[in-house]
Amino acid sequence: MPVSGTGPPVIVNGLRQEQLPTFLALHKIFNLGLCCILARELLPLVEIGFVSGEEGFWIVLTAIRYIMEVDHITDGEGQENVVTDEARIRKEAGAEMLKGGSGVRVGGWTIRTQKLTILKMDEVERWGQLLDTTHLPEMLFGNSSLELIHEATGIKVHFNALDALRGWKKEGLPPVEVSAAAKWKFASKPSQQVILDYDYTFTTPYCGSECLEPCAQTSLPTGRDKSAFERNEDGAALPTLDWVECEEKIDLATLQQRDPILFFDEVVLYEDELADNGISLLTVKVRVMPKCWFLLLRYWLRVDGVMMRLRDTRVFSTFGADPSDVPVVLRERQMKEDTFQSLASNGYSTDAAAYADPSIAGERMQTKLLKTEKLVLRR
Amino acid sequence: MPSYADVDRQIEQLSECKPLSEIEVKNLCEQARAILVEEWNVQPVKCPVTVCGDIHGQFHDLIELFRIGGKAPDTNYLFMGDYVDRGYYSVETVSLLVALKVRYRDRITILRGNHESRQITQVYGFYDECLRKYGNANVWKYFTDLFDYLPLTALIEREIFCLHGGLSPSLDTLDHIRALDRIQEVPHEGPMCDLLWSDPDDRCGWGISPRGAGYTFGQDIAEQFNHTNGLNLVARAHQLVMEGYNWCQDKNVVTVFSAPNYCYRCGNMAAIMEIDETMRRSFLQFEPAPRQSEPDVTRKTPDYFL
Repeated sequence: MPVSGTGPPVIVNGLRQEQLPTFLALHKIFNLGLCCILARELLPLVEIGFVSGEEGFWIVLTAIRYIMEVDHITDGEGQENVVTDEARIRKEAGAEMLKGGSGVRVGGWTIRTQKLTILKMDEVERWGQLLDTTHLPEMLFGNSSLELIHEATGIKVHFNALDALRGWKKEGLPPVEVSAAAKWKFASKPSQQVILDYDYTFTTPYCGSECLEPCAQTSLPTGRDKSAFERNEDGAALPTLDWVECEEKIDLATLQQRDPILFFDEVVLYEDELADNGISLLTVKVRVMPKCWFLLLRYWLRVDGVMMRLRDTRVFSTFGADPSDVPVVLRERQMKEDTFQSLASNGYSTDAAAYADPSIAGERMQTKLLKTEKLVLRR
Repeated sequence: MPSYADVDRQIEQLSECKPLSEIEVKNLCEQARAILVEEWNVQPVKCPVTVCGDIHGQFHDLIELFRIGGKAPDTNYLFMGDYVDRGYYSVETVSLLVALKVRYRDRITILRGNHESRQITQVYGFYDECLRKYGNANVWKYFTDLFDYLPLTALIEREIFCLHGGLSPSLDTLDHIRALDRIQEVPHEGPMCDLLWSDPDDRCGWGISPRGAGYTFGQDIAEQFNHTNGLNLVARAHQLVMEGYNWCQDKNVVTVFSAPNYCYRCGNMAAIMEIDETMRRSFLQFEPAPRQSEPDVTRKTPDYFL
């Protein structure tokens, strides 16, 4: 470990130029708060000269590694150990990271995320035409996606904003009025104006897309509605892929084990701030372990002071002994919804700020639907 | 001639993203109030001036904006509201803008956005940030009390009308706006609310948002408003646009948004609109500050979610 007696303390604000990349990498992987708390604790020690700034920096690094139980930092001095550790875990699991770090190949599956910026104006216009609407979420990550492909069978489960918005159009819920609406209408003269009536919450029944490779790129606005496979008129002779309700449940015991996470990512598909009346957010996150993968697609809506809606889709698959076997893929769908009024009558807070975390909000909401399905491949 | 030594030092401190003390904020807000109370609902502004949209507490990007657009007071600025909430540095951002206003009152104009309100800031971050950084809500109170005095709109050389949101069916002329009593919390409805909340829409005429509150205005409305008031452009902010600015309604309206990579994850460009001495407009786009220390929220900590 290099020890430098000269130069300023190198913690957070006083970081030296050459250490910046490492520290920024830290920010990317871990949350800033944690780094800062550790650094703040260490700063007095640095100031009295008990540890040098550089030592302090490495203490922060090491502590974070320890706390997170997952070694992700690959820079400078620690690189060798970390790489060995990660490589060992991956080797034991038979896993291979995809180039660019946005995916993994393991257990017969290739799992990949793509995260790009929100759509540009011309793309938004194109999507508008495609979906026959002039209103789309203000943050539309139209080129972002998660896909999981089972190599031997060609089964592909994937998640994208376009299919989700097709679901929104199809469901076409009536709009929810915000809390200010009653007062607002009373003061205005709405009878003279057109009331727009699209569902501005972008509520979608979407629980993922599936097809057999090679399938059409539905994540791109090609103007086609269904996968190439489904469009094939010779359908009778071809294999089909269906979700069928089943008795089996997602194996929570396996998921609660702290197996190392080989790959983790979260992809936002769309988000809207409802003109500061709450939030509408569709995200999917995935974690891949040595024995299984698990993902959560979540549609979360909070119309402040009015209602909340949570639609969770959890998909799970354990790796078979033979990766060429047809995989067992289970999907659990859960829909919850409640009004602030009914939360109040149950004695819960009606302060919107108390419901920033959908998981906590979900515990207080009524379940409208809960079912588990299995992906069935008929050949 | 008042001494500017204090505020000069405060501007210097704030430029390094270091917040002022509670008592300094209190004094600063008092000075700013004395200036803002003299300003008009439709504050006249001279060219050249650079027009900016939402900042939302993205302090380092505001510094980048000054780097791209020129330092205040070498460049005159007109900000169209939404300084606070969403980003991590609302306190530093709004403190700096208010300090610049106090120091260079004729060179910087700061309008009110829908986030410059007590109610909105309690939900979207500014209130919590004040609590976190000062241990109490006093600073939040000083600022939100000050926000009541911010002008609602500005008029550049009688040609370009600038405001945060958009038009209102109750306000056909600039004189109607001049007649409003603005020194109050942003109401839930009515003309003052519309100016800070409304949006342009593809649909003609006045529309009512499906949310049941808030107007949309069509191209015909914007054309009529510009014609009636002898204007050639409505410049507004309030909506995220990927390119940082967006012309709409046959160039009767332009949206300017100055928070790049909004919420640290959208990947959008920011823009500012320069109006030169001859009233020629040009747009400068910019990306997030290269060395900002905000966490990258797109890469989350691996977690054993269920």
